[in-house]
Amino acid sequence: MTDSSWPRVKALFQAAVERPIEDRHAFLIAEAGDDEVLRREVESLLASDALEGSFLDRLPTAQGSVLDDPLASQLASADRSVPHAVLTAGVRVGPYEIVAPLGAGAMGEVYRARDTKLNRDVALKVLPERFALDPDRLARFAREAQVLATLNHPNIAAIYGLEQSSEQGPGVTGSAPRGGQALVLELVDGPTLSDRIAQGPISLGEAITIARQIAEALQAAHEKGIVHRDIKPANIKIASHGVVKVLDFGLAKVWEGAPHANLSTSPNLTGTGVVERTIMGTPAYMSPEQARGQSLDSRTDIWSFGCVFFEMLTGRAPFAADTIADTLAAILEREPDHTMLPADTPVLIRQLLRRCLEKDRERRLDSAARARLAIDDAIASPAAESVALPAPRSSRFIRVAIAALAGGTAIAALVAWALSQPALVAPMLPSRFAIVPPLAQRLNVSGGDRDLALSPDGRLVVYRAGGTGTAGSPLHVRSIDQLDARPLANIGGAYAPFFSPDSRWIGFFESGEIKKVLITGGPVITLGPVSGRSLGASWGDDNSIVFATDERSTGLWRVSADGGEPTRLTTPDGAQPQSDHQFPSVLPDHRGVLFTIAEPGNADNAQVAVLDLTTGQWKTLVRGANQAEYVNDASGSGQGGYLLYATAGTLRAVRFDLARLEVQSDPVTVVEQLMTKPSGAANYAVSRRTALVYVPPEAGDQNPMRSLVWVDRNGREEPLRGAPTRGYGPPRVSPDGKRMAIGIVDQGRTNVWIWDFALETLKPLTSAAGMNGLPVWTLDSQRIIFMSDRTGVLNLYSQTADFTGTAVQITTSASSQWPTSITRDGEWIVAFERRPRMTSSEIVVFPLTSPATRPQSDRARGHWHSLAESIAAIRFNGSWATVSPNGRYLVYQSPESGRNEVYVRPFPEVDRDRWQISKGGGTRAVWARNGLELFYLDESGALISVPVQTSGPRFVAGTSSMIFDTVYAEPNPARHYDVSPDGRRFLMLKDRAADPNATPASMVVVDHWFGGLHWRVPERGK
Amino acid sequence: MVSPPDITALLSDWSRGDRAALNLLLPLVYAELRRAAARQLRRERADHTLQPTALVHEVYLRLVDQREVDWQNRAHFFGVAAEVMRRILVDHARRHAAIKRGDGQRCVSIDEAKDVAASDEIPILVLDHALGRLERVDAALAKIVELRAFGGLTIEAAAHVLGVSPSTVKRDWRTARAWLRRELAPEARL
Repeated sequence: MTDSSWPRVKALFQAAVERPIEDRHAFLIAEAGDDEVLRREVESLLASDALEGSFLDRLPTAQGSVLDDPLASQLASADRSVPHAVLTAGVRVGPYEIVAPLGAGAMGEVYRARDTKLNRDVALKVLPERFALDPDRLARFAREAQVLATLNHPNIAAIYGLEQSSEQGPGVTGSAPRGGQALVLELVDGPTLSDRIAQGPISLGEAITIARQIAEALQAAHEKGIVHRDIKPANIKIASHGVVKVLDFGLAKVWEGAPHANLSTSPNLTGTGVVERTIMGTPAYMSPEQARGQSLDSRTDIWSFGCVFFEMLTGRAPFAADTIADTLAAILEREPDHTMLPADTPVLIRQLLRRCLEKDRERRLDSAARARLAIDDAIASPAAESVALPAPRSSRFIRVAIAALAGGTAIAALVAWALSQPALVAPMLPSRFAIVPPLAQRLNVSGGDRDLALSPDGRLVVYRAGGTGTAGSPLHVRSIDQLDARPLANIGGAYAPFFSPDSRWIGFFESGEIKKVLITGGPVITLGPVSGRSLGASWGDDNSIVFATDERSTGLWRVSADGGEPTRLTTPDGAQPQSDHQFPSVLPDHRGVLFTIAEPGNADNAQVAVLDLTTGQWKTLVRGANQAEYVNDASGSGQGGYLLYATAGTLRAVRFDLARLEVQSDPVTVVEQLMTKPSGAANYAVSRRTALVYVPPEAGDQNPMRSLVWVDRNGREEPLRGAPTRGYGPPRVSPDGKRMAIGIVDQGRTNVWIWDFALETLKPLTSAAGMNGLPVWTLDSQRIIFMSDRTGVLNLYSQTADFTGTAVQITTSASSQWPTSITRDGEWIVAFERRPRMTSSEIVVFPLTSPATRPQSDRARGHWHSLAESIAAIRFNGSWATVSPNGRYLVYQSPESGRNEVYVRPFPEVDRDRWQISKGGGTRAVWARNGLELFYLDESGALISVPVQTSGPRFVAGTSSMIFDTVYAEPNPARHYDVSPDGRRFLMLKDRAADPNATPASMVVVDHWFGGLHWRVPERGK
Repeated sequence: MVSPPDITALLSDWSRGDRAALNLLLPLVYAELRRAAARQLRRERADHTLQPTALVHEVYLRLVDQREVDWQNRAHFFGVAAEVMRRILVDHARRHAAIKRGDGQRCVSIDEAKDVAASDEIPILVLDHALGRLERVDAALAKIVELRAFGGLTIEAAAHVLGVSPSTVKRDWRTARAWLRRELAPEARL
């Protein structure tokens, strides 16, 4: 590098280093362009920054000088005295494949790595070389790691084990391969507490919930005799949902005995503890005994815990000073400034801090369990115990949502301070915990309705589990106080569960019917037919069920819980022809029905209304709100109850007068982030009195992340070069073979994207809410036909594939329509549709051109409706039909034999003949482009080939043979693969293995959710 | 022997812009730091290292009347001390390396140094060499490293001494660390 290039290098480095690691490469490519030397220069700086940068960053600035002590640098360089390799992405250490560097400290470099055996991401801490060269030490370390690996607690980042093997692969740049000694650790995404503190003050409530979880972690470890010895904000991470994870448990000790290469310190800094802590960061959290170099026990963690808690509340570590010497002096001699604590810090917390920060450990609080109990006591009686000092914070309403993910068990108390309105504080405070179903029973949040139900007695949660292909029952029942969920028997396609008022029955929808089953099992009882997909159901006290569907303008339906023909309860206003009535909730004593008035596809403009069952009239209660539920006030105030509703991704509550059907207060937010669906459905449910369960929004992002692979006829896979991992739907290669159209799910929307094989670019073609998918290319590769539900029903649209046009609606129908193929002359589109009230599919054929030019207007819609149906001259039962390349035959699937089989019919004279292709089940058939072969998937998901003859006078099918039996992703019933134009390869979707480190789809149960809420009753409410 | 109030006054003068004060200040700080370093080294085995920021701190406490000095003056003191400390450490390290050679111990080159974990003083020399190279590339970065590594200055204090914003220091510090890190482990270059 020449000095003249330095300013540019520096500027680029400083710009790049501010970006997330994953974005840096692209940024450099964009900025440095062709200047390879420049780019490499900056990248090498970034690499060394990654090793050391976080070391600096995770410290409060006040301790910067301590951290950056040159002694520490010396030790660090001694640490790295043997040339150390920088591991780059792709390098393997045993079964672990390096993904990216995460940072480094004296303990070694840390990488994000992929565990290729278990298909999860882990943190890999590659040990310093000097470590690996000392067999005794290594053996001791291995034993220690085993002990540490037994620590299994939701608030402790797990140590999976020690990997001893050498690196392989191309990225090793060290002078010689070394015996890689790497600790395999749980990867925790999220900011460290130190990051969090740097962002700004932590509210009292949040600090307490974090502290409580740290105390739980310490308690669990101390009970096993494991002392952390290095508790500090940089070692504590805040994962999703506020779950605290303490990192590096016990590692400090393991490191402490490291040979120090004869390094020592000045007399006032004797003791390996100081040096180690100096290497690792800062002595600001060291206990006095640690500072003196004395032996340590669990009480040292109690001290450090006190320091961390204190810092959370004050923004400053109690003994932090500019230099090591000052810091140590403060630890040994000075008392922390307790006046820095927020005025509303409860007395119990103040006492706890004093007892943790007792310099004489004989007088210090002696267990983490006691610390936790003290916090619980403080939570239980915050108002009574808090200091009544006037301070801005005391009047502020602090509500904190936390959930401890203890494999679903740990219950973390929740704090709510409502000090300014003591009269309205409910005696019980909310408690929350998360239910994280195991992978096999994972929460399924597809579809437009709710995916869970809570029994009115608050004891049981019923949720929808598994993917679309899951065998057995998708509805699972879980008792609040148990770990396992069990499936409800014999209900294969059930969705949208709801409870009977006595908590004994589960109602649900399946196959166009509304049904019920006893929660304990037994036969499924069909109650009545349902047209369309459900949008809410509620079981009233009068033994009737009110429900709604996505069939437009039908309003609410009522059906007896003993079965019968559903009757209409409401019909939407003539003034609002587009509006639909959805998400009913029957009020107690059959007083009325809450429901949502919404325009399909416009959930944001929904209103919560109430139907007065005595008068048959309804009125709007809350605008911009969706899916209301009523809950009695369990606090016994006799003031009626609460109305809960979803708005803008939050769950809010207002006081509600049941007798007058009137809102009585301003809204209060109960859940900050709630998963809502494009249909407007909000994924929550309430019990009669005190409990609610909801799905956090992250669950909606659990799009099946997939990659695209070419698989040849020998089953050999080759990734589609350059294609990212996304929520792909079925791929469709263009007739000219140059591009691919594909639906991609992202944040609840599906849109059509186009991949260019040559340019390796992926660009969105459509960008609309809801579903825009299942692309079909026109024969000239110029246009895409796709389906979209932008008007509320899946209809067909057309758009040019050059990114310049807009979507044109080509059919308008009350039936859902799925495009599958285009005829050889390009004039007709083959689709299948599902009519309202029908569950079977019919293959239909529409003209592709003429209606597309017609203007869109409401008046024209009625006309079109009949037009589309009359035009579809061809109509027969079946789905997923494609026309043979020569246009003479149609391959499709049909369940007419009792299971799906693949058939071929002549085209267009479909009634003339029929040949069954598959035996023992077959779906998702497609023609080879040369017309000489048919492909389909058999029952097991294997890809089958059948040689066919379509050119002669008669259709002939040969003997089928399997091409490969690897089961690839099944996004939905669609043909989720495509064939290359030459017929040699198949473009398959591959599920990215479920990432156990990703936020598991969870449900959060909140009991006493209204506790401590501050109800501002407006004047008009009087 | 100069009494502490003099140092304090010089510091105040210097921080008000009096360059002459600095010329008077430097030798005082140097002498005191050397004395402190010598004391410390006598107490330790000869192959033990120094604890520079602790030394600087010790000297600061000895020389400066803290009641009279505000934090800006303090920052300036540490700024000067950092430079002095670096010189002392490097001198000491060089002498010590020479003694080792004189004793018939093996000669330690800088490159070998990293293989010899026991060579306490070599890293100082390595760092000094690397800092020298950094000085030629970007003197401002080198100064920041000197202030922070040898003087123990915080970001804020370094910013004050250099008359730039803390965010600049922070950015440059990170850059300097990355540069040095790479420089000290050339095999890590990508």
